[in-house]
Amino acid sequence: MEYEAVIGLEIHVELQTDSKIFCGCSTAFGAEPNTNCCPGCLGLPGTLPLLNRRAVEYGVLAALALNCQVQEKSIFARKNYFYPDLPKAYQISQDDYPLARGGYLEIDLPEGSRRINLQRAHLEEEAGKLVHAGDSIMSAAYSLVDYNRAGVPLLEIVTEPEITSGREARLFLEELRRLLRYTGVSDVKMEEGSLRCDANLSLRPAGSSELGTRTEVKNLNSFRAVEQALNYEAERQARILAGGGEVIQATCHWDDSCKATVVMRMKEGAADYRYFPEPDLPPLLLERSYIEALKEKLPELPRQKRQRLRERYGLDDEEAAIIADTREMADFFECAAESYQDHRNLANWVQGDLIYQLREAGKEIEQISPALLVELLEMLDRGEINRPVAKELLEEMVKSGASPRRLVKKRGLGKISGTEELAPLVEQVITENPEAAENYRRGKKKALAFLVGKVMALTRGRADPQELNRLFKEKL
Amino acid sequence: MAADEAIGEREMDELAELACLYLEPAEKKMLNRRLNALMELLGKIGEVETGGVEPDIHPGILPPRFREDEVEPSLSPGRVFQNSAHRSDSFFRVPSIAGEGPGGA
Amino acid sequence: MKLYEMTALELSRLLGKKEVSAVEVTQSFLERTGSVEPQVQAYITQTPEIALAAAEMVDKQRARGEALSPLAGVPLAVKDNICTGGVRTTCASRFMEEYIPPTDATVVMKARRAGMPLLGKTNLDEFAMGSSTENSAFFPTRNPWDLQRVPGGSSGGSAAAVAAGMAPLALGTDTGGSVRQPAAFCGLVGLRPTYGRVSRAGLVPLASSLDQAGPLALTTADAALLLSLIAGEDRLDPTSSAAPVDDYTGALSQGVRGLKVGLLAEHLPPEFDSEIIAAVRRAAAALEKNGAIVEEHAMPHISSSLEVYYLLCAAEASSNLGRFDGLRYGRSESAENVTAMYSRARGEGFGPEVKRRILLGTAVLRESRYERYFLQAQRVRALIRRDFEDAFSRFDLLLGAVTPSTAFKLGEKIEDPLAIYRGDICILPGPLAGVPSIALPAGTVSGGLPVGVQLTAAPFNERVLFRAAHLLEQERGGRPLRPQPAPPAL
Repeated sequence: MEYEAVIGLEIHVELQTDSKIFCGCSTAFGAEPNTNCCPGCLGLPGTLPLLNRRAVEYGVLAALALNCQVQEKSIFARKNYFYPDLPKAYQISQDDYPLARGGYLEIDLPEGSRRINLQRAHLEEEAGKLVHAGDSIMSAAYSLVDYNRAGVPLLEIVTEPEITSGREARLFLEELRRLLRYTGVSDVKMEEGSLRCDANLSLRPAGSSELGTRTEVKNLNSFRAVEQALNYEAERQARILAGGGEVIQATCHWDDSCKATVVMRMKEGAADYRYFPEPDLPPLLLERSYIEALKEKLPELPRQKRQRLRERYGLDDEEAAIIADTREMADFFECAAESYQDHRNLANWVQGDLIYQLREAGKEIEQISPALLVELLEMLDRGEINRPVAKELLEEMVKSGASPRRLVKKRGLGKISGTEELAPLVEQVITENPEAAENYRRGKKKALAFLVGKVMALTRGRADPQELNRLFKEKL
Repeated sequence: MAADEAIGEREMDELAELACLYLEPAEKKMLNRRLNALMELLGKIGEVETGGVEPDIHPGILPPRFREDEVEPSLSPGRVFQNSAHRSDSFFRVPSIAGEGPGGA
Repeated sequence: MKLYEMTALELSRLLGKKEVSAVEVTQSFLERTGSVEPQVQAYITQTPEIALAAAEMVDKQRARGEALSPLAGVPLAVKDNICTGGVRTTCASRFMEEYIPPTDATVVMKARRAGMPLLGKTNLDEFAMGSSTENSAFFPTRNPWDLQRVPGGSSGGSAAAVAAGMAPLALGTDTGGSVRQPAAFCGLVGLRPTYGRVSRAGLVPLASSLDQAGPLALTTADAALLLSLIAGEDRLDPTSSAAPVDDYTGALSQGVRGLKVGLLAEHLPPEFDSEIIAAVRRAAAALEKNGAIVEEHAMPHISSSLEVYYLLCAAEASSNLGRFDGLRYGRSESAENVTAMYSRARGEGFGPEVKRRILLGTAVLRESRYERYFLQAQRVRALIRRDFEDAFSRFDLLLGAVTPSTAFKLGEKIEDPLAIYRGDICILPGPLAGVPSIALPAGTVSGGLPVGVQLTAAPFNERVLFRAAHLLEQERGGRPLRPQPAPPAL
């Protein structure tokens, strides 16, 4: 039988506020353990949660960007369980009354675009961090607890179970990351844990609408891991079903080094979190006008941006996708495009050489002035420099931020086209390569290219090849 | 109280586990008895007609109160560990957590 | 009259006129404590050095002519579930025996800033769970009126300290009557403010949606002074109210003419002590005589308060007490794994009443019971609140009893917690609706024990409570009710 996978994602995004969601402790990454802690972070009795206005604002912005219905009334709830990273033995989260309901995100697949619907998005607090002695949690004799992360604001986004493959899940997450970066509410780094993803996966006969037994897949620490783990898990379940077996509801752990999901033993009885409304916090009431005002503040989002780049500048899908990958890149492009009319050429340089040089130099696009790239391309278009020089200049420009025109002047990198300068070089090359000169005289056209190449090498590509052709023909 | 609402031995164990309470067997029995007596008393709440009534979380509706996103000083390490017997350098140290709890958000 | 026999207001006047020093006042209470504390056992921790240092500071400030709070130099006892920075805060629990909070609760900070010398931390039922102070993990406190009897609870230590002359004022907490019931048992004025009137920051929580701190005092004027000091918005408590703080002291002498008073029929059932019912009726008559209009009033849902209160309180408490795991603070156990470490610390650190309520709360929050117990209780809570709203659309005040009987004997009811729970029927409805109530002495009964009556007002209308309570106090002679004759042991 053919099976299809039914996948739902639960995504946690750390919101990039300065202070924690319920207290004034810093959210800065990488501080000494347990130094960003106040009585509240330690769960000392008598401390109360003080809701961070910006955390709510960022949550609402993200929800609006995801087309969710932001609720005028949402209620914080306690999720009760004991674990050393949870200082109060409950996590303040939202249950029956989340910040936002519904919503969707469209992803682009080769076969067309697809809308992935969302169930909800809600605010909650991050737990602390556990460091296990030894290799893993299972074998560790003890663990160390750091509460610096406890209380960092999180937005949990839950999709409907309608993703069908690891690849779709990955594309969804990549588009989600792009969107959230556009809104500026999170730095969304999977490697640093500010974007995390758990997945539920079950199989069903292709075309059927019933749902099979699902497993939860955890420890997905990169986009690649998401894709690989879900594909692996789908195959694992398919093998079980094909063999007449039954999938057991369980939590699986993705082992990235073995490239396999490992079924974790479940504790007897399902978790019982005893959710109830958080009595320490009044319901979160947001006025419609507040929500509308935040909607106004939303920037143009990636999908609209890509479309506009295609329509306005004539870019193709791939160019638009690369340039609209970040808001900053797109801003750079559009700023440059204002004063530089050959948009396709501009796009070509930006998506190719410029991005390559940025990566090499470890720089961000915001550090480069669009005017400099325009200056460079104009010099190239006017024939003041040739292509290899332009690439060399771009590298230098990215590294130092220097103006290409100045660089040309300073280093004498301009094109050499004067007869006085070129004639002695032509003489020299003919003298040094008598055989080639003779061959040309005998009518071998190829020999000319060889001789021109020699001069080009001497001038490091700066000589004007047309002028050289003329001079060689004259001499020989 | 319907018989199925009484807390049996098995549920007592579950409750003790959920509440993270070690109970001596005799203590567990005694608490179980008292708990069931209480549940019987409190079960009467079901007799009150509450159709269409919104549950009260607080006494009345309070306006939401926000804190501005400003960093305030944290506790000094001395204060952080002042009351703990489980300090290990700059961490709190716990014994093995293998196979425990749900873990994490 | 000795200094320790004076009211806070009397002390405040003497201090203001520099007729006594704050150190002398403090010393008087410390000496009195030295002689009666062995019998009463009101304090878990005494802090004479801190008290004297604060008193000295106040005397210096006064000598320099600085503007001081009326309560500067008037000592204070604080219930031991209210955090005091640098002073251990045990909640009368073995689990918290050595816990030292890093900071003061907001109410304590306000008192210290006002120059009130902190005499010590008073006994309570463990984590405020109980109404006799017999659930203290350390020792029971005795009622200064009769040492064989309980002072009430859970703020029994605070009440006993004030009644015995060991403190002129004390702070208690009232979740389901824990200020008012001991006030009634000890012949004091006990005020539970409107939910949100006084900051909860630094109160070790029992039930977050019900907890309020309030004063235990000898007179209404003393209670008004302390409430004026501790009331107000607090940025550390998201449920504290921004409503302006009224002039409570100014309200005292305004009388009751024209006030409409509802006499609560539910508080006068035949199973109550007839002398208590008589005291309530006497109070009604006194109000009427002074120009109030009194009518009997019934509230259909308050008979369910007991169930609602115990369900909600246990549910919230089961969650609030989860943080006590022994890792970051509290009773420390070593074990082979985390679960064993936590459950041993909790199993050995908590007393039976605490365990019972945690288990009850855990049970009613489980998915299988949530709807029928917890959510149903929240719905009935809403109905009770509506009963109060209806009542306050007709009346300015509600008058009733505090307790069905006078203070009972130690050990008398400890074996029958349900009987104790039933005793709370008059004091539970108010907290569920968040309304303010005051318990005040209404004289003594034939056994020589004090009885109290209770007044309840609409949210943030503490002023009207003070008007009526002060009038009733004047009718009774205007003096604090003191154990008469003082028990021989004292």
